[in-house]
Amino acid sequence: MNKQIAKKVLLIGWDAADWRVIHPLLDSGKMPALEKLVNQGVMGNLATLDPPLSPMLWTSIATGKTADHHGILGFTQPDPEGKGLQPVLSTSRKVKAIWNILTQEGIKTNVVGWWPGHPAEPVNGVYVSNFYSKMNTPMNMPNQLAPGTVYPERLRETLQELRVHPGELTAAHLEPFIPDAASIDQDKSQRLYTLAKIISGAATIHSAATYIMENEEWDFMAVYYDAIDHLGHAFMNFHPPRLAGIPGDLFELYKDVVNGGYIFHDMMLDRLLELAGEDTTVILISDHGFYSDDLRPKYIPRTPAGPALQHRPYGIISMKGAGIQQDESIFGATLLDITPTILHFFGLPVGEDMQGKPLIQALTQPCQPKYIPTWEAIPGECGMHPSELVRSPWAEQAALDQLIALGYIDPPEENIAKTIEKSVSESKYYLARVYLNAKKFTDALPLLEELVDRFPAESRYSMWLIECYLGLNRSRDGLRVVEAIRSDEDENPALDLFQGKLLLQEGKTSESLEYLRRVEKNDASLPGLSIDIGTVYLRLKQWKAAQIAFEAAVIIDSDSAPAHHGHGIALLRQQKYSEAADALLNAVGLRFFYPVAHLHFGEALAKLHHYERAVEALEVSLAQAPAMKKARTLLVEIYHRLNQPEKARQHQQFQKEDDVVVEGIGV
Amino acid sequence: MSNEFQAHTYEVPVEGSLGVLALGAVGILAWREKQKKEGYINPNENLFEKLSSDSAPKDEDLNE
Repeated sequence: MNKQIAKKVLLIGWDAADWRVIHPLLDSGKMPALEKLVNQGVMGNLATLDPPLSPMLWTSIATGKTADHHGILGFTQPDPEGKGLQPVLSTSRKVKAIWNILTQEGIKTNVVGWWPGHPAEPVNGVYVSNFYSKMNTPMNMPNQLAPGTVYPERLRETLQELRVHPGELTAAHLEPFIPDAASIDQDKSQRLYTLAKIISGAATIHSAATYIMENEEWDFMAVYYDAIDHLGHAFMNFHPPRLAGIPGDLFELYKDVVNGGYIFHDMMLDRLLELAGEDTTVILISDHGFYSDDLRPKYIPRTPAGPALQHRPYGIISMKGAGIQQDESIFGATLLDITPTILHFFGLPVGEDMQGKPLIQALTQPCQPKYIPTWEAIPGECGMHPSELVRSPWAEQAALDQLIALGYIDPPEENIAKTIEKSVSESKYYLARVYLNAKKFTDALPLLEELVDRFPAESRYSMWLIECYLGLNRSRDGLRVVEAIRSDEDENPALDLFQGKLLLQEGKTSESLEYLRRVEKNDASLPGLSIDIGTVYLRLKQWKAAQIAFEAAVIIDSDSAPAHHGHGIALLRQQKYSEAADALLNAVGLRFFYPVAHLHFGEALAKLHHYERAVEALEVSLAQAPAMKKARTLLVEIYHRLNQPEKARQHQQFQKEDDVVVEGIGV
Repeated sequence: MSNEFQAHTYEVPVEGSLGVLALGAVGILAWREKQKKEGYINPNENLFEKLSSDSAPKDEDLNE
């Protein structure tokens, strides 16, 4: 066992929290509790996964594994009796969560509100499921907790009384968000009610969490709040700066709601920090961000999970506690790193089958983590569910209603079989996207081909199939799909973009550029367009033009790692080594697992004669992609220069191996 | 009464507040106790019941 770094750990989840909203609030002193946390610890971006759907992401956070391993694939699942759908449940998770591992290690573990977390798991402590905050019955009717909401049963009655109903809230609760709430015509708008539901839901979770922290023993406590995400979906369009198309009166009415939500969470954070005490390690995270500026999507497609387009690919992380650096930034964290980090803090080994790594860069004295092959094979009572399923149809209905209201799922169709078929298809689609995100193109292909075959009218399935063909270097097949879904009458910038990329893959650079320029003319805001144009210029070795395109990409989204990477290559090839190194450092800072960017960073550093740092960058590149020949060749050269022939020889042994295709711009 | 105790004593407004909600369980229990003591009835209670029904208005003023 490693040295235990943390005595106690408090993990707080704020769904969809984003530094881009938080920074102005911190700067104006409106989030003092978070400011304290950040000043006493580290902060950084937390890269999300695709698809950015919360139940899948929070399960990845809790397991250190992607959805193809943990088994949570979307918002709903077929009812086991075949009569309809149910919200995705904790019983569908195929692997141990952090609370199961800690339970079997005898660590007192409490979980509140995790999604998906119903039915509550019999852990070594208290578990309150995410159904706890779902209330859709009037105040004057009994509001009984669904079976399976609270573990252990002895706390059921106490916690039931601590729930806050939306009807309990008064003007004093709502006017801080909407100062002119009294002017809203309640016969025409239910936005005030939406706000009341979200605030009462957060207060309910917070109420249970604080009660448990004060009255129950704990070494590990995880609390999940969904309100920032829900406020974003309901009110981000009114957030300043005012978006085109938002009526002035509505903007004035609702412009403070999102900021108000963050300030309320800061007040709750203050209380959690107070109850946790100084000797607790605190980790605050979000699963993804939320576009709050000019990148807010103009249109949300009315498809299942369409609102996820509003999710930005970077969430937040801030940690403080014993052994953690103070007032520092950390780079390269992903949400797969959270469970390995918590295990490392408790001095426990990390599973080699976990896909993240402990965030040792946050520590003052980093010690190397210990590993075991897998926690799944370690016997012991871990608090996972026995096989029988706890059912609670009406509470499930409340959870489904909320997902429908948020636009994440469609209302059920009259034909149950069709509804179930749709849900199963969506799960396959999400699984295919998980595979694509992991570059497992051959695994994604049969799923997408089946979906396109069965649902030819669903263009999003076809779009991802084209993406998959691109990944497999099957540009011919990709172009065939483009032609199949292109209709003569419409301009389709998204399809033009694909056509440009596919033609580029075929080596037809001029034709490719023609399509990309057409897209630029018709819809310059299309995500990734400037990056694609820049990539074409890199292939054409038009370095200055590439530089300009990637600079535009960085202006559009300064958190885009590929934009900084491409910018760095364009500068590198123009022998602007110092600027190139800065750009490439930005790229690997934003996305640590990025072997080809580390390679280019090492190359820029070598050109600047910073050989020791170049070695570090190239070693990282090789650690992430061991068969990357170019990095090894460069390392051999630098080790000779540094008069370290033994190390050069070690790398030379591998040089005969074939190169591999590595994601990124191979220029 | 010691200064330390006074520092943790809050006057809970009968209509509640975000600060009271942020206190968590102790705040909510104290607030309900205050409402009970003063016989407070929330004017919004019935309004929200109407809005939670199926016939609630839909906000169609934006092309979201």
